[in-house]
Amino acid sequence: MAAHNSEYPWLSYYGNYRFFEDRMREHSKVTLVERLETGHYRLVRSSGPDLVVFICECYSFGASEYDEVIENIGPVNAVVISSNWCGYALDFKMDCMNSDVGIFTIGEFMAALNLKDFWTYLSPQQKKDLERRK
Amino acid sequence: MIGEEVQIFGFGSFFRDLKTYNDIDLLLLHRDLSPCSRQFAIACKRGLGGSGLKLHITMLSSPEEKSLGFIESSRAKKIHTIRRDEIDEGIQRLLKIIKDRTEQKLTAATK
Repeated sequence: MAAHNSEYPWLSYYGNYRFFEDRMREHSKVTLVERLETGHYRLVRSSGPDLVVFICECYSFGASEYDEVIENIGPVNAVVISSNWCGYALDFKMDCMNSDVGIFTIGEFMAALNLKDFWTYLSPQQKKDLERRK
Repeated sequence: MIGEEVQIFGFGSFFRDLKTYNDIDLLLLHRDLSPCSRQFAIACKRGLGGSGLKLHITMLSSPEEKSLGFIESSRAKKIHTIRRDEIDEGIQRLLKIIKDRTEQKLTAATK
């Protein structure tokens, strides 16, 4: 596992969000990427309300970390996991989905932005996992 | 809630038999996704802040950990438990465990 920043809010060790910014600027549904503060963005979409997004680079993003984000920067519409070694649990994603908040990897977020109800996006694997539980 | 507790796991270079390490990785494993359990984990994390140690703290509920397999993949080992009814003492004991290990590593590195 690579090192990450020890201080809240577990931002990129290198403070570099260029990959995320570049992906957002390339997206056909995003018209403006505004950096509010490090790791904290407002995305203006071609349709639908603006989105407040928090980017996380950590070992894992859990419910308690989410609470910390909200306490520190206020409500967000989505949390995007920006590292290959960081994961999140499906149950936590489903929990956030009930509040219209999306938890995604960057790839998932790119796909989710094409949906009106973006927070409901599930990857094919997540759909399979949910199906298996039934 | 009196019965609330957080289990502390260590992982990464500090907790392996290595002389050098970059930081001290801890997993705070709390009971479940309930607000009470989540807030207790955050309280423990805050209690560990300001220790002067280079701590990297990850928090997960037990169901989240089970889903991610974090303990197995990171080869984390349980080192302590902090209970709500003795949070300050629990944190101090944890910090002592870490400081003792830091000294052992320093001694080993200078040999």
